[in-house]
Amino acid sequence: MKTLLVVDDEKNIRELYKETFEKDNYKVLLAETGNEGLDLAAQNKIDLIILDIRLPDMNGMEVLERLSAGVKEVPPVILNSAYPGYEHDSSVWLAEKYLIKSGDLEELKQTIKAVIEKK
Amino acid sequence: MSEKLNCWEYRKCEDKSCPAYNRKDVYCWTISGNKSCCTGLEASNIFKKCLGCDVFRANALTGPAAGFMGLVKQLYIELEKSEAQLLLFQKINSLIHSTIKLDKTLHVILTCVTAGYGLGFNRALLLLTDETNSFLEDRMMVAPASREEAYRIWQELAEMDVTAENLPELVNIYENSFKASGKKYLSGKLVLALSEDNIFTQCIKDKNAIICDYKYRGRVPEAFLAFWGAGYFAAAPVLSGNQVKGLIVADNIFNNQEITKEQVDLLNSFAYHAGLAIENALLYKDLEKRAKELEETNERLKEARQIMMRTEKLTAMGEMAATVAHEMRTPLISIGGFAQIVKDKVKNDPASFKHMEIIAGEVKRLEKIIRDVLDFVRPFELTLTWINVKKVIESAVLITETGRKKKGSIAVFVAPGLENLKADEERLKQVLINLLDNALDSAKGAGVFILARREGANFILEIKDEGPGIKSGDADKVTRPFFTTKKNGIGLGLPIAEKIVKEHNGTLSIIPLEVGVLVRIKLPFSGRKS
Repeated sequence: MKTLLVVDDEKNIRELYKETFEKDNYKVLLAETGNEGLDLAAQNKIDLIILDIRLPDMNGMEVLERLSAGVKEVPPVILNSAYPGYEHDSSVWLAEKYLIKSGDLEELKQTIKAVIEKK
Repeated sequence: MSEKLNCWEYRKCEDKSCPAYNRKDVYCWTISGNKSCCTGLEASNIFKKCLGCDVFRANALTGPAAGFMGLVKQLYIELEKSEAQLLLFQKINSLIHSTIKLDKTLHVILTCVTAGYGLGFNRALLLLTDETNSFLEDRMMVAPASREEAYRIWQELAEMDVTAENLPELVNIYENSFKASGKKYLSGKLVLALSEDNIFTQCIKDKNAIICDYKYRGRVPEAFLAFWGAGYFAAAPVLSGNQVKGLIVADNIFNNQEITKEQVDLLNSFAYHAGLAIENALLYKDLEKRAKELEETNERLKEARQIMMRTEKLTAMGEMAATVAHEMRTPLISIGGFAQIVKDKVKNDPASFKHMEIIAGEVKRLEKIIRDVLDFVRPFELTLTWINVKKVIESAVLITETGRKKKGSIAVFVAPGLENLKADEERLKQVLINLLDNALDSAKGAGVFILARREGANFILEIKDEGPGIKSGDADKVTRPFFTTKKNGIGLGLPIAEKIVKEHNGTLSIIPLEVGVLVRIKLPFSGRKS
């Protein structure tokens, strides 16, 4: 079973993602802050990270950069934000994909599937 | 009868202190040698009356004093005429100086030259210099319908005293007599170059009036002769200070009277006043023009300020809209996402399934509105790459048709061998989707066409539908934000498309056709110039 790490400060979103992806047969780990996410990534074997950009302690780009520096085998990351406008940040290139959050999870599901299969 | 009466008897003064009173040797006061009459009248005024007095005639024009008195009488008549003329010129001057409308002034001037026993010319023509001061052009001509009519108008004016109150009335008399002649003079029949040497330029150079008779025959321009039809006339320069304003030409073509030196002198001094009056009127006209310009500038300034205020307001509102939209997005994700989960769980309960489907569908709609609002109010940066237009069009067509009942109603025509275009792929796709959505909605089942081709250095993309088209009143509103004819739209599709096209340095035009509407997008092939 593949493991997904969801880093998002919104409790409802975390629960939504957990329920949705568990139904699709993924193990889902949840983190509320950037630091929590980095810790979980260091301690577990993660196959893919779904990373929010606006987090209470640091923003998603910073998480991305620290991840590349701290973790040996960096899992692919999907940046997932309610806010467009980060497309031009060079750190975004470290991520596999930049998605705008939507109530329709179809696109996110498809992207996860594609990234994990590619890996 | 009058021979036996004294003038005091005849005139019924009945004043016993009159030197002629009760005398039988002197019948007439005028020849009694006294300076003033006992009735207290001024000498000149009583003398006027004496001229019409039978006693004066009987006594003064016969006998030894006759020759002398005859001369006095003649001189007096001349004097009276001059006095009347002087008075009239005063009237004319105050009249033309008080008239600030140029055409009115010009007409008054010419009427004065021609009417009655003023200058008494049969007709008069006013030539004015053009703006560049290189030509004389005919501006106005006055020739009274008849001498009687001219005399009547003149008489009317002569009988009026000029005061501030009745000036408008005087102007009206001119105006009405002008109208009575029934024709408005159309200028532009005669143009004379000021650079040529002829009788007119000489007159202007000398700043003096001239009587043009046989001596000057060779110096009258042919064009003028053809126009005026006579070679014997008087001309006086109209000057204002040192500046030449024009020329007054007058003659006596109807009664063939000789033009006298006195007449020309009067014409000369009159033309001088006319020059001042024209200068006045021109200044006033200029002033009016300036005032109008100022008013217009003021109006434009007001408009600009309004636009600025509106823009500021829009910017503030845009920021607010963006913030609100963002804040709404996160809760919507939860609503939409959980609705999907519940929907899957209630698959066996058709009513609940339908309700959850509605929730999920409406969340999607709300998300689209948020996306549109954000796209419209936020500045965005383009990511320019070389894109394959055909692929982008096909992808946009696919997305647009998804969720629509009828598929395959969009016909795509891409010119063979069309080069790649430097543009933001996602944004261009968004433009296409917005326009195709509109086209499909307005086509109402009729055909929709996309044509892509090259035209010089430009890429041309046309989207055409054969629907009922845009209502005539809506034509200039369709690109206005929040204008929509759709039930489910918020009216940002076209404004966003236009915004994206403009960011690409292109243009978007909406062309109503006989059947349907054509939207044409023109983009520079090599992306943005900047």
